[in-house]
Amino acid sequence: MQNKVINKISIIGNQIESWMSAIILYRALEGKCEINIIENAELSQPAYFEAGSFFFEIHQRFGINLKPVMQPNQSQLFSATKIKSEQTEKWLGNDIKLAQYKGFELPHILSLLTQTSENLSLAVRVSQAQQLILPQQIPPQLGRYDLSALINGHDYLHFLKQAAHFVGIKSYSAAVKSISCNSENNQIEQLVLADEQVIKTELIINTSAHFQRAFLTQSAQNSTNNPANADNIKDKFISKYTAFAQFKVAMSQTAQFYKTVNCDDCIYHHYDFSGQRIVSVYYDPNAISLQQVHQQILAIYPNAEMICDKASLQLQQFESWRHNCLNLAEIHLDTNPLFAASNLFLRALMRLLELFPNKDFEKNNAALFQQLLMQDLNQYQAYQNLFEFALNRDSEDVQSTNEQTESIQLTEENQQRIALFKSSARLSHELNPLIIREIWSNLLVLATQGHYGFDPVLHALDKTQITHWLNGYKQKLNEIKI
Amino acid sequence: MQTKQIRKIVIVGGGTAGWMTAAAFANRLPSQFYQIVLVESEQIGTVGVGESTIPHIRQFNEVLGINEAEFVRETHATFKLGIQFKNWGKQGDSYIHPFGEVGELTKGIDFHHYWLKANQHGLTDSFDRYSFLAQAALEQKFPEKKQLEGEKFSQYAYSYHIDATAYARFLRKYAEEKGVVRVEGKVELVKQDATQAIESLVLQNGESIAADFFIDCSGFRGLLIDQTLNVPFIDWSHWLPVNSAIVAQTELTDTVYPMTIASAHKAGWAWKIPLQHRMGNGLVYDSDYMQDQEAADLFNQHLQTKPITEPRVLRFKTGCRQQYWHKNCVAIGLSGGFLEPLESTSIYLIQQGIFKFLELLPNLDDMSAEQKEYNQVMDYSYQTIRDFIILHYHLNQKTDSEFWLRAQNMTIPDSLKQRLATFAESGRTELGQFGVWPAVCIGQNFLPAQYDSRLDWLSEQELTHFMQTQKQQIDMARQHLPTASQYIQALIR
Ligand SMILES: Cc1cc2nc3c(=O)[nH]c(=O)nc-3n(C[C@H](O)[C@H](O)[C@H](O)COP(=O)(O)OP(=O)(O)OC[C@H]3O[C@@H](n4cnc5c(N)ncnc54)[C@H](O)[C@@H]3O)c2cc1C
Repeated sequence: MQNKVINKISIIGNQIESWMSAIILYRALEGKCEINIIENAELSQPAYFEAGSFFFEIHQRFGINLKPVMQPNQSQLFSATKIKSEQTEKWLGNDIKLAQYKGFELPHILSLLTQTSENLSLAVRVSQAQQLILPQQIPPQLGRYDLSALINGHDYLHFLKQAAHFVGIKSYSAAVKSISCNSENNQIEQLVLADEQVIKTELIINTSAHFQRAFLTQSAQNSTNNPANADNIKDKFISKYTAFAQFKVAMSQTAQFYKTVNCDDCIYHHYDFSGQRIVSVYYDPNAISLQQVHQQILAIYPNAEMICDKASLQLQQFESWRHNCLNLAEIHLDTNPLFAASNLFLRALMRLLELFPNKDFEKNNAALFQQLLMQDLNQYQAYQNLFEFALNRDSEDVQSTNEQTESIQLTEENQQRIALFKSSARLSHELNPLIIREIWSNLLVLATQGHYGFDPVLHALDKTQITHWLNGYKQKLNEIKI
Repeated sequence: MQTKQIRKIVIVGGGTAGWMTAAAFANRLPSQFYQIVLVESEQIGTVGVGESTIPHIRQFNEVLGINEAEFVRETHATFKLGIQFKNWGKQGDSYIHPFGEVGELTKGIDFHHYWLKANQHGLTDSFDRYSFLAQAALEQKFPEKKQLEGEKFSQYAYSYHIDATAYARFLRKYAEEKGVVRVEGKVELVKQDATQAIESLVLQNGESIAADFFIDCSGFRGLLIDQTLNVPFIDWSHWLPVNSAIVAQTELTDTVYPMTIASAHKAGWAWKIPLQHRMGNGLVYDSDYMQDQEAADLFNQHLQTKPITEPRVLRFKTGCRQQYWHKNCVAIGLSGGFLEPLESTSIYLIQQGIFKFLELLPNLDDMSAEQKEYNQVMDYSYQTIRDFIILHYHLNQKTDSEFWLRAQNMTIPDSLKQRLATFAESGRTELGQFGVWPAVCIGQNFLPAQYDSRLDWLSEQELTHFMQTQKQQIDMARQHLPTASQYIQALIR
């Protein structure tokens, strides 16, 4: 049989994702494949980005030691989000296991005892401590939580580039000028760069929006040969906050172990490390301009420096595979106001390894890849939709039972999520989810403003004992040093 | 806010589904708050089959705190490591679908890709030669947990063959001890309220039993879900057309394998299930392609030992309910749907129905969200298993039987079509799919066109060495295993 293994990979883009893909693929493929990076220039410079536990797990899995990029004054670790509005302050924890009484999770207990207004998330409590508390320092019966991080993209990129250089990954700092395709199978065989260098390739991993626009978006007619299922996503991706800017402010303060989010016409994320604050702003470019955003920030922090701005692609369709080109340009680390979006990109990379193609780029394999990625994207969007809903509800009438705020339309799936949670604090079943149930649960507590039910079996249990357990739990939480 | 609670639940039916439900409910729902009543009719009786299980049953037992030795003793159980399929691809073929994966993921690549490449380079070993469980089963052995501790094969899956009647009896005792009230009697009338919800049951003797919620475990009759609430049945018999079975118990054979044996015949298949004290036998067929008499004759030939019960004929139709949960009623067991027993999945579906319902136990005021979630989850399970069973039929290569030719050529569900096409092309399967796809597909000679191309980075010597090592590890591990019968005897002593 003909040897069909791919031996040459070209990664297009000069972003964090591009270099991260290169290093991870290098490690996963044990250096057996030639990997080139074409540093097609991008709109923005690398800024700070959020990473969740999956990010760390993957680096560990492939033996990549992140210590150099995790310096205290260059990255922030946090286990919760403080959501601030004029009237209220709410918290969302990165809990991954909730405390349980006889198998009933904490939200059920709080609902039974009508104490849902109290936030007893372990992740939140830990984040409020004035010092870093690692998950392994906490007794397991209190639950478990994850630490997320805001990572300095510049440092991380530098680290990746050094590592890439060390293992012999080649990079070309010129944009792609043209491509040449095989006339039979439409696969891209050569990339001609602006400096006339020619790069032969067998698999392309595109992380560049430029490349996407210049070479992939227009060639729609070709895609009929390779129906890797372009999914229509125009109506699914309903967030209006599609543009992003990031600012750095020098401040004299100590590090915080939570991030802060507030929302008016934009969504603001604040990350505080010692000596500086990073502000990420997600905004609706149809309602407010970048300049206005900048001015707003300067009004609050006169010394703010803009370090990144980016508009996400307004996609009609999502098509992960076009012949031998895997298009991951849309899945960025920071185009959506959601924690740990890097999970999405890394899961896509892991899928690539699970479904690693051969030179035939078989269509069913590509379709399965697309299907799995769409599942993640849908979940990601569902979470974002509910998150925006929860943020917007904050300012509304607490007693309101109406599930639609004026500005945020809940998806049908989220309406069912809320209905189920309101009825009995239950969560829909999901196989191998991008977002785990505890995280959904915490968000649903906010989205329902604490008006949710509990497992009716609790009616049958002794309330005094449950109260006793809860008091014990609270006491242990209070013992966590603040 | 005050909500109206379920306080009384009536289960109609005392077969496997009814008593599994009663036992699990009694375990989960405190008896001082919940009243659980089970109505069954000796006059009607139970279906009396359903003896082969899959590993999930161990989770059921574990949740209920059932001791394994006691369970094995009381249900006359034997151990099961998989199913041996005879004559499914072509006449004379035989393969084992073991529990768990065959081989392990190595360098991120599933084992069947290694086997495929080796096979293309002349390897003659069958795929199941690389399954520890299949090899143990062929030698009538059973792995002992303690012996394998810390070793490569220490995490293995297994299940049981059980005596269905003894199992119901065993669970009945468990449930009654936990407060379930059993009522003997035939339900003659079901009363509904103005919203069509079920209010009460009236028995033949005139006794009326009211409840807040009803579980329909009345078997194929579907006394509540069908006859009362008229929830339509979705017929899948165009994909899974076998509709009859002859069953009988016989004396134990000399050689007892810790696996179910499923042998294909001209218009269906036949099973052999060993228990401690007898064999369970059945011949499943499509009455459009085989007359009852012909089936009876074939069944007699299939029996290896003396019958101890008269053969019985059972009729059924494959399919499921449009809704499993409707109004204040959930259908669990044969009333909810039936997938033929080829992969021994019915008891698993019962178990899933029970646990899902307990997980979603509603308030009476508004149960729509829970109901929707329940129906979605159960639908998904039924369809996934349905596809997996169709796969076995569809992948045959027989040329001498109308029944099998029809199965080869039939239009299969789109969901299955997509999965099959993906496997055919590159041997890929989706994570979390039910059953062990590579074992069944390869077992039935349906080989992917391509193995994972990354294996071309491996030299032929390296691959040969890898395959040999896998085999040696299995051979080492199985050397000192006890026989399955020895293991059972030691356990129940
Ligand atoms: C041929 C065949 C082989 C099978 N093999 C397997 C297998 O290997 N593995 C597996 O997991 N599953 C198997 N099954 C499925 C398995 O047998 C059933 O899922 C299981 O026995 C559950 O049945 P049940 O309790 O729903 O119904 P039944 O056993 O039929 O019980 C129905 C109950 O309802 C009662 N009832 C009905 N009407 C009334 C009324 N009006 N009033 C009072 N009571 C009433 C009856 O008395 C009885 O107690 C097989 C099924 C068939 C047909």
